[in-house]
Amino acid sequence: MSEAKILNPEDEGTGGREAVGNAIRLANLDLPEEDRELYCDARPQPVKPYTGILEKFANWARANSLWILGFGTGCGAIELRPLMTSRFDMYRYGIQPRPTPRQSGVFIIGGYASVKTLKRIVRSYEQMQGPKFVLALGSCTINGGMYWDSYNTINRLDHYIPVDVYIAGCMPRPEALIAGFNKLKELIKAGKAEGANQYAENFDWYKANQKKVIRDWNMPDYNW
Amino acid sequence: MANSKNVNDRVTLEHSRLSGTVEEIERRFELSDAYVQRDSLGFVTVQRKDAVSLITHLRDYLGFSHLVMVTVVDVIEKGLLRLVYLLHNYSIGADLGVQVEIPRGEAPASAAEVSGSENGNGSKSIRPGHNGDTLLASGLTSGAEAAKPAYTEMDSIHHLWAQAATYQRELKEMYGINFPGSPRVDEEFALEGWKDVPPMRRDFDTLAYSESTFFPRPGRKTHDPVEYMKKNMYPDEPDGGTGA
Repeated sequence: MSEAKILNPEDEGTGGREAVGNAIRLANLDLPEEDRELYCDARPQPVKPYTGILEKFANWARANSLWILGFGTGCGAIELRPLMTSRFDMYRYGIQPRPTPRQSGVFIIGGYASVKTLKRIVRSYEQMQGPKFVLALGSCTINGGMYWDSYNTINRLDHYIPVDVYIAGCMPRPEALIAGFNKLKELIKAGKAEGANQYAENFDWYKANQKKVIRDWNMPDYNW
Repeated sequence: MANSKNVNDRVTLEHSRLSGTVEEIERRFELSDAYVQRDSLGFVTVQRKDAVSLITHLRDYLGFSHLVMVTVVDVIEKGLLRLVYLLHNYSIGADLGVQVEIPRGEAPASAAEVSGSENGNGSKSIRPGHNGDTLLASGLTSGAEAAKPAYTEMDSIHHLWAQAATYQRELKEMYGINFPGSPRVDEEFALEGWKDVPPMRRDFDTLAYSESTFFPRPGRKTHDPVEYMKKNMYPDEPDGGTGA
């Protein structure tokens, strides 16, 4: 308990905010020495919004073209399938699945995330291009759900990657997912879905949390 | 029940499909226990030293050609682990579980040192190749010292069924039972980088581990089901609806 409280973004003195924009390079210490030079050592940087109508237009466009990363990370991924069918037809909202993180803008975490999956989630999230958004499904991503006391399942997702919208339920139905998408659209249009920037600004805090649970960290510190 | 056959009637070993099998193996092996749960499912308990011979005999002479699963029960009260090899015989259509009790074993003293030194120098080798090499090297000499501590040992049966190696890999990770010689038994199975007590052992406190590791979100409430039902559903009944 006490150990978990040390890492709080609201606390003063976390390294994340101070390090923004400075030239500290990532050390990639967990990679073998000969591999370190193969990977990028730059930190993610926050992106400033455009001014005025330009940003509004960009946000309108972003909100109407949500491309999902097709990575089903938990049992909730099963609720994504009906979304594609004619009954729910997510394409009418401008939502479509994409096969790789590079092409996607929305990451749906489908419920419980084991530590093993979390490693892949972090890696996929970092490979997505900004602006990027995260929808978290089910009670498991909120507080662990029925796996709250499991040895291998994380309790709250927002300590590892920024989450824009939580959709409660176990599991949420496709209708709830569509409601979540509409909420996300509202946030994007209002310029409040700033997960990617939040991640860049609190990068050290997120990284410390991730490395606390992912014990065999054998990838670059920032997977770009 | 109108049905003439009462499902609660216990089938006795003598009248089950497994009677012949048990009779046969009793002549060759010393069984400390033998019983049937139903007509097509029985269990025998055998000494650790006889286990692989018995399983081989069952497979090669008595038609138990299919390994259904290998699992283990942590009987912490008696300080032992009860391995269960479940075998299936297609010609008689019955399962026979071979139970073997082995000591739980003590946590090896080296376990803490291994993790401590890895944290200390900061440059551990994490690539699978590196890890595998060191494991192989140590495995040849001492056997017990691997990345994850093995508390106890059992003979491998991967030579009888190749798929047993997968079960044995999992048992090593989840219960700390080593199976020397089993293919890839030292590699990680589902957990990555686990350094604690094997999580399926009953002395592993999963709640405490979760609370100290996974940032619990405050505000979670848990009700004791019995108390909750007494209070909210049966407030007028003295026994709280339990019927006790």
